[in-house]
Amino acid sequence: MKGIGSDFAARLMMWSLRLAGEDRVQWAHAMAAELPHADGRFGRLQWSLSCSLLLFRQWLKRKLTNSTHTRFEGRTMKRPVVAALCTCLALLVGLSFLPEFREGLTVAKALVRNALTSRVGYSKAELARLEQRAEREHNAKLMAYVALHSTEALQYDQYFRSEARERARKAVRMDAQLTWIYARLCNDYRAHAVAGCNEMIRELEAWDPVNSVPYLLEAERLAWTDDPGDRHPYDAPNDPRWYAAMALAFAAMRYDPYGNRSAELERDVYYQDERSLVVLMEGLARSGALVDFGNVYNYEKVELGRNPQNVIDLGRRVTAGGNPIAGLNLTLEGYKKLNEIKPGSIPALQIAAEEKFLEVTVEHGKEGYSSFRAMLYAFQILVALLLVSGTICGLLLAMCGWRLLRRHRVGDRLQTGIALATGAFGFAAVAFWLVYKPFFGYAQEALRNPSPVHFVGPLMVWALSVPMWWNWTWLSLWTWEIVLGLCVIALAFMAGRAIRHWNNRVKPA
Amino acid sequence: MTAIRFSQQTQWLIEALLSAPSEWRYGYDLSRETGLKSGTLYPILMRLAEHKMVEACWEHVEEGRPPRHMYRLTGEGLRWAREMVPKKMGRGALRPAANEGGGR
Repeated sequence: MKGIGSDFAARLMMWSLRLAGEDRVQWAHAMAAELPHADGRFGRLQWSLSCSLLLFRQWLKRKLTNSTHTRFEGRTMKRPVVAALCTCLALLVGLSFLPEFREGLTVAKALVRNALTSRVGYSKAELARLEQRAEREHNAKLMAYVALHSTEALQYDQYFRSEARERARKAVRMDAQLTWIYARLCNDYRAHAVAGCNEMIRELEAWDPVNSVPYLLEAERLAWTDDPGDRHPYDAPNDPRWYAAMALAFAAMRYDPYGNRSAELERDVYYQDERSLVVLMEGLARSGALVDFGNVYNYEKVELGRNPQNVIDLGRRVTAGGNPIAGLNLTLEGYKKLNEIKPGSIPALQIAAEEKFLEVTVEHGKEGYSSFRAMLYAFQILVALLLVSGTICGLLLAMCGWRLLRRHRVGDRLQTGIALATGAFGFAAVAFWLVYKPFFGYAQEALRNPSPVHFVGPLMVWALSVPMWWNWTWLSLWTWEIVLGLCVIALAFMAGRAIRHWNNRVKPA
Repeated sequence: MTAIRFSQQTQWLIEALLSAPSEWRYGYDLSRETGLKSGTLYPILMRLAEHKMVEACWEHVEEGRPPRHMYRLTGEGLRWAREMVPKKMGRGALRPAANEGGGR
């Protein structure tokens, strides 16, 4: 038999004795006195661990609830519980004065709505109402806005294909200066979704003939809709019309994907109507992307053989137009080809500088993306924690209120539950505010700066509102399932215990 | 006085104490007999002692050996236990075999 203090189990037991309250000291010593009689090293360790956990549990409970009581209409609420409730309330009042917290809540609201409706952006009914208003007020901008938002992700059914086209046509009929919206409706994959892109792109070419973008869109449409046969859609098609459209795109004087106009339109409607910040961010994020450069690179080889200077020029225009990665790639390819034909025509220092700039831009994007993913998960988990702890807190407070109204005693377990749920809610609220803070900066920047070069910030803010199980990665796919599964197990466990305890409750004789 | 929660674990402990009602029992022996871990056993003993259903005392030992705490049912506890256990037995509660696996 080993004496107390001779091994880890004894040391743990000795340490745990300190946790015992005044009324439990005798019992703690009684447990410790049994330790030398436990069988074997494992038996002693088991006894010691079990006793220590019990003493720790009682210590925690005492800290949370077992102190002086606060009188409340003759019944009692223990002081730490009242303190936890007051602290949480004060915290929420304080946080509500912070614009970052208020804005974060609007994004969280959009996240919950998107999760419940499996939809991002406006509903059909909302778009129809906006369209009616635009017609009634003869508001071309609002009509263009409705047209652009009719093709949002996850709304690709026949209704939206035809509606988007009709609304765009109505907007252009009201104001021909809005013809650019055809470009945003007919870009890349949307060219399949929106019927009548053929005519719209023609009209766009006629309206803005010195811009590369309409020709690039025409080439994209041909690459996608041309019968591919065994050809991969991104390989150069055999259609001579594709070559003609690409040649015009490389020779055009401007590259304007209408990002500025699109961003301006989104902002105008947002300020006019104070629409959802999340929808604005999605609109601003979309303002940055338009042309499919996979298609452009297919033609690049042809143009390099014909006139490398055209490739360099288009690259510079694309860089200036808000896509430095695609633009620099084009420019550098042009430099290499030009140097092959006429060595030394582009200084090596200039090539090295632009290569470095491209590398830094790509790396910066990658770093930003990985840290952003972590923040995205943190934000969404915190929203879930806010919801779960807030709901539990509300339910427990309602139970507490009910008991107080019926002049029943509020049990220790209920009070401990309220204190813990309130603590979790307060923690989640503060963490939520801290996590949203940098995104608030992105949103403010996007509202101030009309350039689509800053589309990544709005994209990040908007992405917060897209439930993460929509991203097909194993982590994002399973995180919510795990959280929900644990919640269900915990609830089932609590319900089972409550029923069992209710059945076993017997008054002493 | 608040109610005693008559759980299955309480029942196992009461049955162990009822098996030799006049004898003083050690905590570790009760733990082995009922299969309850100390973290479960002692809260039940504390609650029963608070309700005066169980009495506890320190054993008298010769010097150099630490004393142990002992427990047995009080007269009131004995009457209550004899009344409650048959009622609970009807609900299908099963008692684990003594020393079965060293705990649940």
